Amino acid sequence: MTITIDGRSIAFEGRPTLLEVVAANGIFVPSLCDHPGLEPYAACRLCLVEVQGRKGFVPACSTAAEEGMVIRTSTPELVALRRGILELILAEHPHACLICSEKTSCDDFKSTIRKTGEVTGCVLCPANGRCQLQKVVGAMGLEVVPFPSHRRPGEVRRDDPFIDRDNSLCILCGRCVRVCREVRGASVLTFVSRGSGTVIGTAIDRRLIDSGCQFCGACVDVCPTGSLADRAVRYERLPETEKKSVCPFCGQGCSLTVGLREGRILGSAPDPEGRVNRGQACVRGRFLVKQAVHHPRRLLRPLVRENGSLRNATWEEALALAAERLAKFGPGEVAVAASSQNSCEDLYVLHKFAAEVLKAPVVVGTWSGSAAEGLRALGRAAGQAVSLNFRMSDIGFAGAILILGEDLPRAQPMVGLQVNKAVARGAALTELRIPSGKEELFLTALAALVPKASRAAAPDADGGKTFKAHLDKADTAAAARALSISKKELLEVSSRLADPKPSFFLLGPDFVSGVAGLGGLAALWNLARLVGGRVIPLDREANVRGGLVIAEAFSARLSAGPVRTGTSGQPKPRALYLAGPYPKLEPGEAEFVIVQGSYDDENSALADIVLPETTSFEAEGVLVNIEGRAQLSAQVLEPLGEAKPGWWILKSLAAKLGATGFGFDSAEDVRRELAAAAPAFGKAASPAGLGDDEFLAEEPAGAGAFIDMESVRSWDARRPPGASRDADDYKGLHLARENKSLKLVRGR
Amino acid sequence: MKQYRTHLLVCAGTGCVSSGAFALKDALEKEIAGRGLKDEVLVVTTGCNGFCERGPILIVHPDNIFYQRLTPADVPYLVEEHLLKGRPVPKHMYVPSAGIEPVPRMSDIDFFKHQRLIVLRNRGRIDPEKVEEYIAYDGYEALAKALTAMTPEAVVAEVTASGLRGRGGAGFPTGRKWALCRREKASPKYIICNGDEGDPGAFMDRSVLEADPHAVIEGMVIGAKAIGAAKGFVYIRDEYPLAVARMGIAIGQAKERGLLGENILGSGFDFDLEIVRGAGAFVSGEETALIASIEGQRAFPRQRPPYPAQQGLWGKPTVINNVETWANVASIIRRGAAWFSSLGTETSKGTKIFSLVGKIKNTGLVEVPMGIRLRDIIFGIGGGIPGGREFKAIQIGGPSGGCIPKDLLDLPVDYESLTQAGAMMGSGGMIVMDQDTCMVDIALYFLRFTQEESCGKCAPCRIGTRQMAEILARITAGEGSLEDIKKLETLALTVKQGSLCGLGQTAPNPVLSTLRYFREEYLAHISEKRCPARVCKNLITFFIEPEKCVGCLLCLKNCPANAISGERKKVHVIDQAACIKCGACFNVCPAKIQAVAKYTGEEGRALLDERPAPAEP
Repeated sequence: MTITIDGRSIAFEGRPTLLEVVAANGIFVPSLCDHPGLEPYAACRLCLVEVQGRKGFVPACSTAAEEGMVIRTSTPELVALRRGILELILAEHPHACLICSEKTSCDDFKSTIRKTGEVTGCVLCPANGRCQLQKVVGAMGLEVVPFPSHRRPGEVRRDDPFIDRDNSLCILCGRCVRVCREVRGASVLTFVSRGSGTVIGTAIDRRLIDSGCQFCGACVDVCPTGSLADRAVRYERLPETEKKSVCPFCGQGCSLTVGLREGRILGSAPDPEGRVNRGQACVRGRFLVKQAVHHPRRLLRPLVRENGSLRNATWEEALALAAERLAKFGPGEVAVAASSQNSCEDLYVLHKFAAEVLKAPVVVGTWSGSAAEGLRALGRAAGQAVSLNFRMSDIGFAGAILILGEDLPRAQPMVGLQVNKAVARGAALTELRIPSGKEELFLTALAALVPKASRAAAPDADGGKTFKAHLDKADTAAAARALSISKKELLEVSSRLADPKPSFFLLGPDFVSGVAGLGGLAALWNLARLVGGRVIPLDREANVRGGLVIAEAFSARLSAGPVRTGTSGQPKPRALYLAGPYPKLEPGEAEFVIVQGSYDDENSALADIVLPETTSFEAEGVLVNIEGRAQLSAQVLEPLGEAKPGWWILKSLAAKLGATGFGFDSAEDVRRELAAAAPAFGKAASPAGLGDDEFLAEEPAGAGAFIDMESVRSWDARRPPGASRDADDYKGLHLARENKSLKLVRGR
Repeated sequence: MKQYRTHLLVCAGTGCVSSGAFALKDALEKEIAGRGLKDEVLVVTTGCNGFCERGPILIVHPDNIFYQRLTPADVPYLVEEHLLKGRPVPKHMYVPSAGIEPVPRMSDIDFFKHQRLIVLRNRGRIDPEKVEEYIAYDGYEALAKALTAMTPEAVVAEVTASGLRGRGGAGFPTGRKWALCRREKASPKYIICNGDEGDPGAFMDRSVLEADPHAVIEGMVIGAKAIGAAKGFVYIRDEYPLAVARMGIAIGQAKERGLLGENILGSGFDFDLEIVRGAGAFVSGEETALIASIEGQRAFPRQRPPYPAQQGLWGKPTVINNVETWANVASIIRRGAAWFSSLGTETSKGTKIFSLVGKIKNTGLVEVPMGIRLRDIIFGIGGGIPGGREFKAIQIGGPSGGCIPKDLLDLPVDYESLTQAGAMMGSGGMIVMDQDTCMVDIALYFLRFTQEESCGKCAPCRIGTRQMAEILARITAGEGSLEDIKKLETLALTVKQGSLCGLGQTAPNPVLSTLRYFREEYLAHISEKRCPARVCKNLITFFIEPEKCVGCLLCLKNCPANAISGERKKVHVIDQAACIKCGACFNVCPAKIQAVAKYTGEEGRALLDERPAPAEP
């Protein structure tokens, strides 16, 4: 289809707005209230254009392009009108600098005078250099504002964590209010009062933190001016460079843009083009990256124990000492702990090191006891393939959603946004906390109550007959009693799940860890199968799926000897290699302890050797998110101090121990080998394959059969001892305990 | 049914209620019972007669005698004379002006004589809280016709043929709106009655809702059938408690009698109606803002298209019409499009209700045929300007309307003529102004109103109206410059062309129309620092004419600033430095003396330089 803009014939596809068409074709039409991802709003009136055949002027942002339209964007009348409107907007905004003739010669000094309470011009403004109003004024070339200016009364509000609010800079474009409601479903920010007294605020003018704000920062990111500002960076200078990376703080894998200046992180913001997050993030990814990376508790130099206390050492020294000591232990005597917050590269080399060098019986990783592992175990027990991959965006089209054991807004905010979308589209949402131990009873009861007519085709061949027979024995009354709800309510939940649109069962780690054996999971699986739904595992760490695949690939190679766990009379491991969470060490618990980590904690204090590892932002690595999406998290800054990537530490140690096959020179080398060792990675780990939409390969799973409840009774779903299930834990650094602001948010 | 020889129709519109209609009614009932007339005379409360200025009003039926401004104390004599002795009481009748004989019969009073009632046909004659009385005057006949004898298409066609246009302001053809909505495939569809009447001085919607709520309901059910809606909302501003109450009663009665709800009149058609009370924002009268308000959101208008007929309430096709529009529908269906379109002009059919207020003798609500000349409304019905003052301008169309000057008194009242003259039909407010009205001050008044009532969403309206009001304030303060007029004109254009909704797009009208017709007044304020109407405080000086002052001490005692000095029987003098120009002296100086005068411009400033005469020792 084509339209004519200013005499140019322009082709377009789909149903874009006129503003999108002009922007895509490099035609300048100013706009301040429109924002990708938000509904058209048409309030700033700067994007007015002329459409032949329509009365008056129409806003390009809220007018759909139609075949054959004839548009004019820059008639003298339009230019004058836009200028008039911009002059009015500036009458409500401090504009001294915007129209100042000395603007250019002032630029060099502005960073020194930015620290001010009241903003009266750009040089004092936190948004200077990233302000869209500034850009629009520049592009339209305004020199005079012929009206008296009106400063909105009130001071900058600093009584909330993370975010400063300054109404005097606000142009009332409404983006913050809209993103808070339309995208985040929070409706914390709103318009208050009317006429020229209109301001952005909260209901009855409470603080954000008292209004249900999750501090996702979306409002700050959409604000075109400095009205809503990230307090931590508002007085900083602008970043020199910006680099994209993947957020390592949870399992969703949001893309972030990290701003850098002089080798330090200034701040981070969600990447508008991020496949997972589309310009959204949560409080951790938005506000805590800098804190986590430049934290005072970071381990930055190798440490060795000498005369009872730890001292700084060189890598050479520490590695040599480590090799010398490790060489003294035989197969099965060294226990290895791993974390699924590490990259696939780190975990692969760790596994290889454990299997080939240490000859350890097992690598205890935090993927154990995860929701994803539970489902894999279920599939193995039932002898069928279970598909774990999914696309988050599919949840947005669900007909019914059942959430089990997860706090979405806090732990899985992006999944939460999709759930909001689904609910807005009419999905039935049920959130359940089932008392521990009652899962199977309850879910079987739910399945038994699903109306016959709503049951998806349940061919007897797939075990349906056995399952139906099982359902006949279900005690729905007991289930209702267990949850202290009436049978009627139970019936209601059940009938809501049976929706013609796909239903999704979102499964959090709290549910899995509570399940004794696989009975509860199997009941859930069968319930989902019955109503034609999908079970989605939601895990909280950045690389659970990656860790799981690597652990499975090594399972045969590791089972060389007896497992020393120290429990119930078994022999204790003699030495520990801790590259992940481990219970608090007792003095003398093991003869020799190496801690490889990023943050100093109670175990590193007791270690014999501490090997400083980079955080995710200082080294490149693949992280596989809950969807099964393999994403390359890029290095955004040089490793701090002498910290090194996990794979480098292990390959160097292996070399010191005389092992061969560890000649990796880069993360890419590791990936090449990983792709060969773990077929699930296939293309996803090969250097050529790492696009931005790459998933782990899975066996074709089909709809799956019903699972015989009797076949799955024995499964140990325990998390590794010492592992935290807290969503705010990053490699042993508890963000909420370390950061006062996050503590306030979590402490509500 | 019981028969009475006489009905006493007590007007119970909001105006008469505030001036004591219910006390009057109680007194009447008591007196009638006391005189043993209970079985012969019935007291009925009716909806608003429109002649609110004369309230409380009592009409004696069938004699058609019109009594005005009654108090309970008047009742015993009135009952004895009129009801017992059969002698109407002239002293409570309407007197057009001093020295003229009282006019006993309602139909002879100028105010009523020239009106043509379609929408208000039941005003003052039925009890709005009794559906039987509505039905007795052909009520719900049109509904029966539309549901049983007409197809929805025929109903739409009839309304289209009638030429009915929206009475809420913009004048969009009602039939076309219905046809547009009928064509939409999405369901469910909704019907909304816009009763969020917010123009200062306008009360026609309130009056219709109070006087004849069933007419609105009947129109809405017919409309619902025509477009295929099953649910409707009547949005009434909460400042109209009586209208809300009467509409509530009417909906209840209609449901009881099968005129609303399921299977209406046994036709199988279902339609439910609900009242939504507005929270008092002027902008809620804008249709998209009203829809947002019903949805529970802040009353922000949104960009059209899509129009509500395509995507309205909860995104579904919605017909939203004004109270007066809905009240026209039943009559059109009952009496036919040809009858309706025989009234009015080429483009504007039927009648229109106007609220006639300001400097006019007969203040009130009038329903007149479209195309009537302004002169006939102001002088024929309104009785002209009181106090022998001179007509200066008439402001039509609410705060976004315009001022029309004397030269255009012969303008026919229809949508196009008014718009061309720089005003608009709006909801039908008419404010008459005499020579004592300053046009700059009036423009400022309306701009302040729109500025305060702007919703704050779009930049031109929110900021533009404020800047315009400030410039106007500057001019009325005598601090304006010629540059300001240019600025006003540019701003007016920016706001008109740039604003999102009708509120902003029309907000500059008062400025533009006064600049168009009364530019010399602006210039007088700016160049000569003179307010020709002697209104703008900064530009006037109060002065006591020594040759007229009789030294009565009245002004001296009333001056809140103690700025007047003098003694009994001696000339009083205003200390100009202390005067706050409140006008108290001007108002209290007896009419036959008129010693206090207002001066402006050069004359006024000359007085300022004179020192007050020193008080005698």
